[in-house]
Amino acid sequence: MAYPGFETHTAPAAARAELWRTALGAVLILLVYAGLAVGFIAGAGWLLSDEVTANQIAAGSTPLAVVILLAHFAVMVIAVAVVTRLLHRRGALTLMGDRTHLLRDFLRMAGIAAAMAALATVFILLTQEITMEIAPGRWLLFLPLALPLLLLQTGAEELVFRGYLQQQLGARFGVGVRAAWMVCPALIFAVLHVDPASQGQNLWLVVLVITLFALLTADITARTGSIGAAWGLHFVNNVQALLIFSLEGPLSGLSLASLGLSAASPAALPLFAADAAVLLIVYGLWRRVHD
Amino acid sequence: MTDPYAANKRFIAPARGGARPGQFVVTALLVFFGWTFLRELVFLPIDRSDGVGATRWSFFLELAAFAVLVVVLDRVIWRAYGRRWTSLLGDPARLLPDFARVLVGCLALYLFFLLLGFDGSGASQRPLGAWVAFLPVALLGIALQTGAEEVFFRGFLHQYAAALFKHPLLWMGGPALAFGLVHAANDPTSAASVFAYVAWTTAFAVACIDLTARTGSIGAAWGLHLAVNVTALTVATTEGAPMSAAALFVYPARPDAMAGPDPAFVLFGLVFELAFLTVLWLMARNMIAR
Repeated sequence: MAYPGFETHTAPAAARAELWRTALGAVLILLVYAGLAVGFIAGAGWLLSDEVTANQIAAGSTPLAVVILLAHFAVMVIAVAVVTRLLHRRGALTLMGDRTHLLRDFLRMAGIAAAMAALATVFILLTQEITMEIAPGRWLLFLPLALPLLLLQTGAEELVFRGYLQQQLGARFGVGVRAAWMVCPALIFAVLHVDPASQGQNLWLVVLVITLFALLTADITARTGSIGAAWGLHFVNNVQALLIFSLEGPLSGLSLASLGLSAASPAALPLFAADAAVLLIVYGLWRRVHD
Repeated sequence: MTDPYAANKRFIAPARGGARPGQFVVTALLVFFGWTFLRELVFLPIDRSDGVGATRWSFFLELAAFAVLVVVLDRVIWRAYGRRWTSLLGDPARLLPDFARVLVGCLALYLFFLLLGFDGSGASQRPLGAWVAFLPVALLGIALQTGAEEVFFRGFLHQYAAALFKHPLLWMGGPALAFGLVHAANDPTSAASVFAYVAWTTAFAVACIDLTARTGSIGAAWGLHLAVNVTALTVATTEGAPMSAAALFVYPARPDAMAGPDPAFVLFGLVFELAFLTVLWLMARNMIAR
């Protein structure tokens, strides 16, 4: 059986997995999250009005703005936790799946992904023009805040997509219907990452890479039985993209170095292709270790 | 599957005896207009030129006057059906426990969400001590007002509608729409905002009727209603808005308030309001689950 962890992962969802319930839950998660997120960002802009504006936070253009933007994902955790508790009558921790090997799976995947990220970094340093964006001291100062918050941000997204949606749809349709538990959450994940303003003509390629990412993490989750490994991959991926090298545009405020490209520029195309290749290599390596 | 509304049969039993459609309609209209008339009498000696509920005293009086609704209702149904208002409350064993549980659950949810994202930019804060000092009186007034509305809408109106009609669209939708329509005058800024207000209050009434039909008492619906109104009246208000005396934060009036807000914005906001109402209703459903 290709997906030995599928049953343990989806079991907590089995009691209340009607399609209408999951559809209602997904809509409620989205609306509660969006409503609270607007309030959270506006409220942070109000409380910290001397240091940052709500517009800066939404764009993630300064280090503090990125920190707040990452912190706002607590609201996503709360939205999915409240809906899971009230609509599905199960605890939010069950969204993680089987927690016995969660940490081990997280660390194993994060280790593999970090090793590949290090190789990719060498490749980028050799081939790309980079400029330092932020004084290393200031960057280091933000790290103890940024790393846990990235853990929160990637964890929140994993809880919603590989947790809530994959468990609910998996419990409803069974392991055989991959269109439901693997493809459907991946497409929603990709659609929510569409940003024509920053991705421009590269939009379709970016969406394709993000879809690939979501499909692989769904596959990994169904193999291991928890979101641990998917969370590890997501975490390392976002550390690289937000804290080390960033493209110009949204969420660039806390990265050490800039590639001097925007996500929309033609020169970024090979980078996205390399991204997809790195993902597939990490997945292949992980399969060798895991299987 | 067991009938989720089994308790409703016991709840509406007192209304089954002599329920005739014509008599019900006349009784309901008599109560409504009798109450509207008496209310005006109560407020005859009171100066409301500064705005409704703008001072603490008038704020409390506006709400406490709803007690008159229960008095009128009690008199009319005694004549029409030989019933007292207490028989509209339903199962006494569930009334107060359900009320308290739903109130606590929903207020906790409100408080939690408010703490997560409260935007006070531009708002002025009133003196905290004075706000705290008035809070118990304000809460008493809001409890009276919501309690009286529940006795009328979920007690009287729902009991007789459910005794007369079989189809849920009629016994749920009818009284819910009536509840929504009597609230139409509360927000007269634009056609879109009236529509949004009526749509939301109708949906709110459906949730209250559902809770009443599930539990067989108006306790749970009263708890939800109180939580909603306490949050609406004691946290934030806009300069010059009615019933503003108990709010801690005051936002300045929008200069274009006379023209009303953008309809698209209002309808967009309605979607979020309905989503949050659904979450509140789910919280209430969880709190009444045995």
